[in-house]
Amino acid sequence: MLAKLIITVFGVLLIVLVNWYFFFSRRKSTSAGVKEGGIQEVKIIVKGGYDPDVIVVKKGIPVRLDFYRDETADCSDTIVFGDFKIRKPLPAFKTTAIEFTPEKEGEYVFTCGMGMMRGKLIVR
Amino acid sequence: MNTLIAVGTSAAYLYSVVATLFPSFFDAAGMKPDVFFDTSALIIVLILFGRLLEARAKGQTSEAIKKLMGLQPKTARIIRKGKETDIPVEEVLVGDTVVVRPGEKIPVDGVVKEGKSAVDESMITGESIPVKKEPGDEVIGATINKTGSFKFQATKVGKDTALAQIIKLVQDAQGSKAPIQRLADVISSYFVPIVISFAIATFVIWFNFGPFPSLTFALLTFVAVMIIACPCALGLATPTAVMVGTGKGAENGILIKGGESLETAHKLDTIVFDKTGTLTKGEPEITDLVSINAHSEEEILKHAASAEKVSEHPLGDAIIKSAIERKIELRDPKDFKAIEGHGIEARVDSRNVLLGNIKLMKDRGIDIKELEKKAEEFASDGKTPIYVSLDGKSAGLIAVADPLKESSVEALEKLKKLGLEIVMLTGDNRKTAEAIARKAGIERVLPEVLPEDKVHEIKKLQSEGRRVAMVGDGINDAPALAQADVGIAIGSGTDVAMEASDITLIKGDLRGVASAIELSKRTIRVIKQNLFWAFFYNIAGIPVAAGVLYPFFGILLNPIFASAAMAFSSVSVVSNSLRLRRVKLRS
Repeated sequence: MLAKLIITVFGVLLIVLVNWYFFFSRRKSTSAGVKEGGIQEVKIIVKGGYDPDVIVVKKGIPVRLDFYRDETADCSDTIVFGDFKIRKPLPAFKTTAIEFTPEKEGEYVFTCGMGMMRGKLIVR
Repeated sequence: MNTLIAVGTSAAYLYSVVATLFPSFFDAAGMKPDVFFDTSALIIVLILFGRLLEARAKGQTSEAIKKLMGLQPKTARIIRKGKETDIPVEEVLVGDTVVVRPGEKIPVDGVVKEGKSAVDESMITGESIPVKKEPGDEVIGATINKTGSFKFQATKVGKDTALAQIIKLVQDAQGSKAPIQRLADVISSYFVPIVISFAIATFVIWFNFGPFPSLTFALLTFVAVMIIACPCALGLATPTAVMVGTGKGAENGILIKGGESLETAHKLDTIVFDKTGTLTKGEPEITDLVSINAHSEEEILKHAASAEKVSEHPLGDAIIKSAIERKIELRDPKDFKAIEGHGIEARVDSRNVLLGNIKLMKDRGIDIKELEKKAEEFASDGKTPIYVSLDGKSAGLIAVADPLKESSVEALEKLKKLGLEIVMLTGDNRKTAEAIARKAGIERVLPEVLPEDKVHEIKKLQSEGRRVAMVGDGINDAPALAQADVGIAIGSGTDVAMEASDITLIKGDLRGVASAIELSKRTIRVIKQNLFWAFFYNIAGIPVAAGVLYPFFGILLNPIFASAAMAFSSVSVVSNSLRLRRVKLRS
């Protein structure tokens, strides 16, 4: 009886924890630094997700996002910025640069090829 | 997906490790110390095998773009300082003279300056018959020179070439999202936490209410739920079909701007054609010549063509062209005067030539009774009658028409078969317009539409609740192409029209319109099949894995079968998209 109670309580807590982690945990956001030549650049590690997964950039300045895919798992083999019509393969253990100039303020989601792994680009 | 598989197999593995090292712990709790090392291992093997198949299939979805990229020639032979030199294609500059020998690839876009040949343009336009090239003709980079050698001047290099633009367009299309995908995207973003929560709940319920050994049941169902859930199928359903569909289009000279264009194109019910240059050749030609009062046909044509020499009217060009074809020697006109909206007046060989419509003749008091009936006949046949008078007396009648393209009638028939209503838009008067429409088999005509009013006509059709496609070319059409639900630009078109349109047909053949719409219909059908399968699979599979059938039928899904189902699910979605490669586009 006690075992059942423990498992039930533990299960409920685990469900709460999982949902909190996915939906409410605060993600660290990274602001892009402006490099020589006036390009905003951010390096992103791709390994089971995007690190950092919230990127803040300024409007109207060209952006370069360097995605380094640190795994062979093919979930992450493509990066998609639907709003910018970009869909690019990310070869494993290589850096792939995604370049564009955001012209409008707003939040843009970027995902893996299947829309599972997600990150956010905030344009201010 | 990785998260779910990793959590599922790790749970089975760790449980087995504990059961192996501390069996007494399980015995004391009245539970069976089962081990699932084999299950964990087999699941991973099956999933990896599925991934292998999926990766191979996914590779094929982007084959079209790889093929396009592979078309790019590596070197060019150019003449610099009077010498032929081979240089990398990236170093060719606009204005360079390029030499191409038979069997060689044309390196960049340009205009032929010297020599003649036939060029295979099928890789760019989809046209299978080689195209003749003479000085003044345009050549496209990446096409193959067949018979003769020629020299051409480079006009577009690097990212400006037709091939580079096509590649960019296809890449953009493949990166774009189709609205139909939205629901799948929303579900994908909640998928992992929801499935993990569901699996934990399954574990708790089996542990609390399941039969002996409840821990084993709880663990097996937990793992099965984690493994069977297949977000991949949902995520792959739309993009793979869009990639294959747009790639297939590009191979056939049909450039589709993206998922949204594909989706709208399949819902169309009305298709508007601009007449001149779209349905017709856009180059008027003389169809009939009538001479009276003892004048010869040559005499009429000579005077008319000579008078037109300085005019810039397209109908005048047709008359001059016909005279040149008949090897008639033309004179220089004197006292040329264009009478706006009526015709022209000039002196040729000291004879007074008057050329124009009925109004002009009546204004000048010229008796045209003898020709009037014939003129009416021409007009009702869609031709433009031009009266010719010499020295104030009626001399003859020239009928000019812009003939239908050979492919137009067949193309329109195909579109009708697809259930579309066809509308013709033209600046011509009602009589001429209706005559041409009859020939083309079109029932609805919008005549006397000024170029700037095309947009309003499209808007009017849309306000009738129709989904309208506009087929046109040229800068005039750009606003109408943009206003239409789907703008289809034909021919090599201007860049402006390409920018404003949703679909571009590289080849000027109208049959491509039907092919484009058919391709969009097929692609959307595949997307719907994929989405249905992906939703159905997960909605049915997850509860079965959780054991809903067990209380009623005693059926419990082995996690190994769950992994096989999961692997099959995503492979089947990609394979279904690949079927689009085999679609036959008859153009």
